Amino acid sequence: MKGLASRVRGSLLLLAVLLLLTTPLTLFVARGFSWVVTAKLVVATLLLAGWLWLRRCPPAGPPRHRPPLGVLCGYALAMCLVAVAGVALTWLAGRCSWQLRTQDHRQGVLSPQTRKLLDQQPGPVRVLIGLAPADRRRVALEQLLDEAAEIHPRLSWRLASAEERALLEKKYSLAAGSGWLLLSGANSTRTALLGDEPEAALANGLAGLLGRRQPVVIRPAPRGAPPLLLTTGQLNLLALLCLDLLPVLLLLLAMTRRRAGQA
Amino acid sequence: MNGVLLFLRRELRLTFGGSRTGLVLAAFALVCGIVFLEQLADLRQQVQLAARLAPARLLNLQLGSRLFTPLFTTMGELLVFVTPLLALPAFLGERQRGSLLLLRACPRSSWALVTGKYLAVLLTVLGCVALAALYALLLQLVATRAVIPWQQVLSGLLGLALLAAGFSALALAVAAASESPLTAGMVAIGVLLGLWMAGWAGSGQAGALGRLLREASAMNHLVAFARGRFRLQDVVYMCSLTAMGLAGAVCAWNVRGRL
Repeated sequence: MKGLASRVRGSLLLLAVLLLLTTPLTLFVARGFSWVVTAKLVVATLLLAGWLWLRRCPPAGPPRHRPPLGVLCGYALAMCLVAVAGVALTWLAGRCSWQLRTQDHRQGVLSPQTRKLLDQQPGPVRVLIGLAPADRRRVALEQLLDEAAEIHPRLSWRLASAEERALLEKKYSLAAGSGWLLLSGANSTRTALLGDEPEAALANGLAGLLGRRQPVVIRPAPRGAPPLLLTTGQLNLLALLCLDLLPVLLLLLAMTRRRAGQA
Repeated sequence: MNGVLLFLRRELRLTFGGSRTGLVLAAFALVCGIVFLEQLADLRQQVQLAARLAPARLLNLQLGSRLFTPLFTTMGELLVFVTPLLALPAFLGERQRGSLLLLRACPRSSWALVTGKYLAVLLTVLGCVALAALYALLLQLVATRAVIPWQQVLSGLLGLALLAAGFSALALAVAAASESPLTAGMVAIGVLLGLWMAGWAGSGQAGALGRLLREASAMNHLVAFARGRFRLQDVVYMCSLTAMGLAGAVCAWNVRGRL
C-alpha cells in the first residue's frame, strides 16, 4: 500500500514537471498564449497540489499525525475571504480612481491640432486607408494612426483591399490611385484625400466627423533635441561600473561574509 | 513592536551573515546591468541615426519609454525568481539550523515573528530594487546629456517596491507552509509566475474571465507604474498581495505549530 502511494506521488510529480517543461514549446508553436497553455498550467498546478497533499498525509500514518481538517478548512476559508476582499477593494479602487500622469505621454509625431480633434471625438472612429501596399506614404500613415489609436482608444484602422479601393473610389468619385482615407464615426462618414502630408488628411477627416467645414492647418512638428548624448568612452565606463564593479563588489562582500561565518 | 524589532534584528544578522544573499544580489545586479546596458546602447544608436536622418523622430526616442519602462518590467520579472530565493530561508533556514522548536517556544506572538522576518526579507529585496535608481544616477553623472524623467523613475521605483512587498509576503507564506526547500521553491516560483503571467492568459480573451485575469496580473499593474502612471487601483492591488501573503504566513505558522 505504501509502495503504491509512493508510485502515485512520483507519477503526479513527473506528469506535472513534464507538463511544465513542454509549456514553452507549446508557447512557441502556438505563437502566443493559448487555451492549451492555460489548460496545461492549470492541470500541472492541480497535479502539484495533489502531490503536495499526498506528501503531507501519509495514508498509513496514525490518526494523530493527520492534519486537523477543521483547522485547515477554517484557514482556507479565511484566505479565500482575504482574497475576495482584495479583489473587491481593487475593483472599488478602479471605480473611483484618479490617475496622475507623471510624464507627458502625448509627445509624439501627431500635432497638437490632431490630438485635440481626437480628444473631441464622442464615439468610435473607424479609418479605412485607400492606399496601395507599396505606397511610400503608408508607413508614415500607419505610425500616425497607431499613435492616434493610443490617444483615442476607440479608433481602429485597416488597409482597404484592392476590390474595396475600386468600389469606394467609384462610390465617392475619388481619383483612382490618389490615396484617400474613409473615416466612419457614430453618425457620419467622411473622405479625405491624402496629399504629401498624411496628417492633414487625417485631421480634416476628423474635423469633418465633428461637423466642421474649415480646413485644419497643421503646424509642422518641432525638431526634437537628442535626449541622450553618450560617447563610446562614457558607455564603456557605464559598462565597467554596472557589469563589473557592482556585481564584483557584491561577490566580494559575499565571500568576506562566508569567511567570517566560517571563522 | 519590541518583538518585531527583536526578530528583525535577528533575521538581518542571519541574512547578511552568510554568503547566499550577496551571491543572489550579485547575480541580480549582473542580469539587470546587462539589460540596462543593452537598452542604453540600442537607444544611443537610434538617437544617433535619428539626429542625422530624421530629427522629428527624436521626439519619440524618450529615455522614459525606451530605457526605463523596459528596465522596470525586466526587474519585475526577475523579482519573480529572486524573491523566493531571499524569502524561503527565513523559515526553512530555521528548520535546517534546528532552531524551529526554540522559535515556537518564544513568548512572542506569531504576528511579531512573521512581521520581523517579512521586514528583513523586504529590506533585502528593496536593495535589488534600488539598483534602478543607481543606474539612473550613474547615467546622469556619466553622460554628456541625459534627459532623465525623474518623476517616471520615482513612479517605477515605487511600483517595484510595492511589487517586492507583495511578492516577499507571498513567498514568506509559502516558506511558512512548506517543509522541503525544493517544494517551497517550486510552489513559490509557480505562484509568483502565475500572478505575473495572468495578463498574458487574459490578453486574448474577451468577457469577465479575460478582464479578471488582466486585473489579477502583477505585470499589468507594474507596467502602469513603469510608464509613470500612479493609479490607486495598482496600489490597492499590491497592498492586497502583501496583506494576503502576511495573513497566509501567520496562518501557516499557526497550523504548522498545531501539527
